[in-house]
Amino acid sequence: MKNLLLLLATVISFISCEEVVDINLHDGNQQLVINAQFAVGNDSLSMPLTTTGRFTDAAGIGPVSNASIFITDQNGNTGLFSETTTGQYLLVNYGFVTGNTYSLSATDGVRTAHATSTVPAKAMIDSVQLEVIQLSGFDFYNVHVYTVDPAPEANYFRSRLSYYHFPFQESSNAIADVLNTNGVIDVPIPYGGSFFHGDTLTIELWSMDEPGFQFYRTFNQAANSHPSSSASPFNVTSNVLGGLGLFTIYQRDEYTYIVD
Amino acid sequence: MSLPIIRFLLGTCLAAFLTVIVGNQSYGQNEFTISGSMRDSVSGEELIGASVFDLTTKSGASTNIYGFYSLTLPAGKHSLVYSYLGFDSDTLQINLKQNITKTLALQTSNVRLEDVIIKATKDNDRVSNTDVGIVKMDIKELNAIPVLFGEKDILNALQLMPGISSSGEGKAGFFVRGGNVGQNLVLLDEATVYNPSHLLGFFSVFNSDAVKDVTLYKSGIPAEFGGRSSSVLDVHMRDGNLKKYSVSGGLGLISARLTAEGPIVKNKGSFIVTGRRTYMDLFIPLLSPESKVNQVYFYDFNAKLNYRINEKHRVFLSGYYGHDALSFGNEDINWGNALGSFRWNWVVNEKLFSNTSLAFSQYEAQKGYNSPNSDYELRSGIMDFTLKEDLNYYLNPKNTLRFGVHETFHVYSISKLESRSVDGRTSQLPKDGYATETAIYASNEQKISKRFNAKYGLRLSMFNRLGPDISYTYNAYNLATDSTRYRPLQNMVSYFGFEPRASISYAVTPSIGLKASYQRMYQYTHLISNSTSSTPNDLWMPSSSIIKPQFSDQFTVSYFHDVLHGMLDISVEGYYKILHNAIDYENGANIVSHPNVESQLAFGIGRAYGVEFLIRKTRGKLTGWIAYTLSRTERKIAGINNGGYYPARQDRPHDLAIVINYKVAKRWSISANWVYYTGNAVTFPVGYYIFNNRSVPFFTSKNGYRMPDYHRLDLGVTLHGKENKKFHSDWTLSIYNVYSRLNAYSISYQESTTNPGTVEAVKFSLFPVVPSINWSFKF
Repeated sequence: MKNLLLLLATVISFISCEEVVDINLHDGNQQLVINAQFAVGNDSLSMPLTTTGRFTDAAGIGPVSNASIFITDQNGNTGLFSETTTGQYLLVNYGFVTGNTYSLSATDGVRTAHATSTVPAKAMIDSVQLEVIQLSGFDFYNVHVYTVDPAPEANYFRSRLSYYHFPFQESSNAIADVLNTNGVIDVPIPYGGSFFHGDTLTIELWSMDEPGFQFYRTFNQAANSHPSSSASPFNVTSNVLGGLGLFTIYQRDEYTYIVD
Repeated sequence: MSLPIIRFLLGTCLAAFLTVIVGNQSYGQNEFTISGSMRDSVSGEELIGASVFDLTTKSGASTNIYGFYSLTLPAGKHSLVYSYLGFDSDTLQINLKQNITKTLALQTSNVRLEDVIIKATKDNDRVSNTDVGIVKMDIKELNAIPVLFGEKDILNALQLMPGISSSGEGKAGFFVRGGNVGQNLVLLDEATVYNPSHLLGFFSVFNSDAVKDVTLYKSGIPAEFGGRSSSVLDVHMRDGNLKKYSVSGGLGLISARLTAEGPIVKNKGSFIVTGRRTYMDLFIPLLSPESKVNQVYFYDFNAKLNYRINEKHRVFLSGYYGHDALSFGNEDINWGNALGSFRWNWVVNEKLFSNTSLAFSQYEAQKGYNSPNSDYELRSGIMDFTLKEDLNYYLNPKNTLRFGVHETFHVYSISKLESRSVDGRTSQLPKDGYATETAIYASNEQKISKRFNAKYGLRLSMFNRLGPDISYTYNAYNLATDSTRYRPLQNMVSYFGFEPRASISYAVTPSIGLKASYQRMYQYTHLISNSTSSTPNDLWMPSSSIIKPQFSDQFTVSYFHDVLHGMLDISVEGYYKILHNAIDYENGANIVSHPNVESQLAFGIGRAYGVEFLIRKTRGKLTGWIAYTLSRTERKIAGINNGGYYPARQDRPHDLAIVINYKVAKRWSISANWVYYTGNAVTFPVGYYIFNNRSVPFFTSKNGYRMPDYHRLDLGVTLHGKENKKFHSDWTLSIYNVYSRLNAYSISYQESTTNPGTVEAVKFSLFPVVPSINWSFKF
C-alpha cells in the first residue's frame, strides 16, 4: 500500500518525502521478563531473566544478574534458583505434581515479578496424518496431530514440529480444546514445509494451562502478523504480574513420523 | 419477533401517528391552497429551498428538493413574495377563491453573490427554523476556496466547517462529530454512495459541475434518512438546462472535465452529461522507463435525464459510474462505484407531493498481486437495490407532514479471495451476504407560534439477514466452535430499530435563536476499515448474530445570533453523542482475507461530545468564517486498555479553520484558508523484549500517542471572465500548503541506516507546497 501511495504522491506532485522525526516514547520504565517454561519430569529447571529495552535502541535490554528467584507450590515447598551464568538461573531436583499450582517470584532488588501456573493433565499423541497441498507444481504439507483429549477439563495445547535437520519450529501452534470432547482431536500444525520421502518428522505436543496457551496464542499472532494486516497493535498476553513473559509448567509428549 | 408481526407494528405506529397529527388539525372550508414550482428563469431548473411568503397573513412555505411548494391560505386577497438567494424576488397579487397552481421563474440577480459560500441554513429563517447542525453548500462559489491541485471538491470544502473534520491529508473521507467515515450516509440522487473517494481518498466522487445541491446533516436529521449512525450527506445532481444547449468544462493540474447539457424537449425535458479524467498517468514514463507498467488514474461520468410529462408528473433518470486504477509493480488496486436511480414526481393534489424512487448502487474493490508463479486477488463490495416512496403533505401553513416507506435489498461481497497458481485457478474464501432493510417514517414540521417551531418524527426500521450463509459461534479465543447453515432467503437474524427524532427552536429576539434537537440513528451495515483511506481492505459488512446494529443517541443545543442585520453570524452548538454497539478490533485483529472477519471484532460503547463555534461574515468585500471545534471522541471496549475509555482514531480535540475571501476588484478575488487540528490518536510501541530468541514489541495503551498536529495555509486568486459574454471563463491560481509544512501522513519505525542497531521513527509526508492553476469555461 505504501508503494502505491508513494507512486500516487510522486506522480501527482513529485514531492512526497520521508524524514526522521523524534517521537517521545514513554519508555522509561524497564520491566523484568521471565521465560520460565518447565516440563514435568525434567529435574533441571533452567530459565533466563532479562529486562525490556527501549523500542528505539537496544538500551536496557539484557540479562538480569544477582536476582532472587524462587518457586513455591501450594503446600509451601520452595525451591531457590541459583545463577549459573549472567542472567541464567537453575534449579535442580524440584518436581511437579499434576493438578498442583506453583508460583514463581523474581526480584532484582528494585522490581519484583510474580506468576503462577497449574500443572495440566497430560495428553498423548494418538496418531499423525499429513495433508498434501499442491502449489506451483510442488507438494507442501500440513501436519495434523490427533491426540487423546483428557477429560473433563478444558485442554490447552501447543504443538511444534521438527523435521530433517531443522530444529523445532517456533512458528508453533497453540490450540484450545474447550469443548471437553474427551475424544481424539485434531491439532493442526499450519504449513509444516515441503517434505521428501523418508524424512523423519518429530512432533512435540505440550499440554499447558490456560495462561500458557494464551501467551503462545498471542505470541504466535504477534510473530505472524504483518504491519499492514493488523488493524490493532496488541500486547502478548502474559501471566506475569509486575513484568512480562511467561511462567508455565507443561506436560510433553513426542511422536516420530516418517514420510512415506 | 416474526416478520409479519413487525410489519404489522410498523404499519400501526405510522397510522397512529398520522391519526394524531391529522386529527388535531382543522381544515377550514374557507381556505385554499396555492401550489406549484419555482424555477430558474435562465436554465429552467427547479430551485430548492426557495421561499414564498404571504405578506397578508405573515405565513410562508419553501420548496422541497424537487422545487415544489404548497401554501394554504384563507380565501381573499394576498400579496405573495417569491424569493431565493441570488435571484430577484417576485411579488404576486392574488385573490384566492379556489385552489390554484402557480409556477414562477425567478430572474438571476444582477448583483454578483459575494456573501455566502457555505451557509448554515437558508438565509431568511436561520433564527427561527428548526435546523440544527445542518450545513448547506452553494456549489457556485466553490471556486473561491483554494484546494489541493486546484480541483474544487465538495467534501474537502465541507471539512472547513465546524464538527466536520478531515480523515487525513487531502482526503475526501470525513468525520462528523466523532463518527467514523463509514457512519456517514452519502446519497447521490437517492442512491447510496459507499465509497465517495477517488485516488485513495484524495478527491471525492462528486463532480461539482454536475451537482446542484449539497446538504450535510450533523444532527437534527429528518426521519426520512436512516441507516447510518453519524451523519447524512444528501447530494443532488443538476437536472440540465431546459432552455438551451451549453458546454462547460475545465482543465487543471491533474485532470480535465467536460459537461454538456440542454433540452430534450424545450421546457419539458433536459439532459446533462459530465465526465472527468485524470491525466497524471501520462507523467509516469517520465519517472523511469520501467515505470510504464504502473498506472494511476480515475475517471467518472454523470448523466441525468428528466422529463416533465405534465404539471403533475415528472420523471428523472440519473446515473453515475466511476473507476479508479492504481498499479505499482506486482500490486494493483481497482475500485469504483456504479449508481443509478429512477424517480417519479407526482403532484397528487395541491397539498400532497409524492416521490417514488428506484435506486441501484454498487461498490466494488479489487486488490491484486501478480507474480510469475502465482497471484491472488482480493475482492470486496456491496450492491443495493432500493425502492422508496416519500410523501409530503402540506396540511396547512403551520404543519407539513413527511412520511414514507423504504425497502433495500443488500448483497455483500465480503473479502473474496482468489488465488491462482501455474497449475490452475484455486478459489478460496468466497463470502457473500444478503439482507433486507425496511423502514417507515413520519414527521411533522410545525410552526407552533411566531417564535416557537418544532419538527418531530419517528422512523421505524427493520433489518433481516438472509441466507444462504453460515452463521458461526465463537469461543473466548475467537475460534469457531459451532456453525449453522442457512438456506437461500432463510432468515438468519432480525433487528428492529426505534428511531425518534425531534428539533425545536425558539426565537428569543428577531436576531437570536435557541435550538435543540435529539435523534436516534440505527446502522445495520458497517464499514470495517483498518485505515483512514478508502482501500479495498475496507469491508462493508452486514449485522449478524455477532455484529449487532450500531445506534447512536445525540443531543444538540444551539445558539444562533444574527448580528448587524445579517452581516455577521455567530453560532455555538454543543453536542453529546452516545454510540451503542461500537465496533473496534480485537487485539491483533487481522481483517485482510480472514475467513471470519467478525471474529476479529470487539464491541462496546462510544461517546463523543464537543462544542462548535462559528463566526461568519457574509456580506461585503471581505467575507469568510472562523470555525473551531473543541471535542473528544472515545471508545470503551472490553479487553482494550483495561476496559476504560480511550481516544478513538477520529478523536480531534482541537479543530480550527479560518476561511477568508476578499473581492479585490470586479473580476478579481483572493482567498485564503488556514486549518489546524490535533494529530490523530495512534498506538506506538514503548519498548521490546526478547523471548525465545524473538523480539517482541509491547505497548502501554491503545491510541495513547498522537501524530504531530496538522496545520496548513492555502491561498487562491481567481480572475473571473467578463460578464455577459457568450464564452465565459475563470482562471484560478491556488497554492496549497503555502509555508510547506511537512504534515505527517504516517509514521513508521524502521532500522536506522546511519546508526545500525537502532530504530527510528520515520515520518512520511505527502504534500509540501503545491501550486496549481485551473481554467474553467462555459459557452
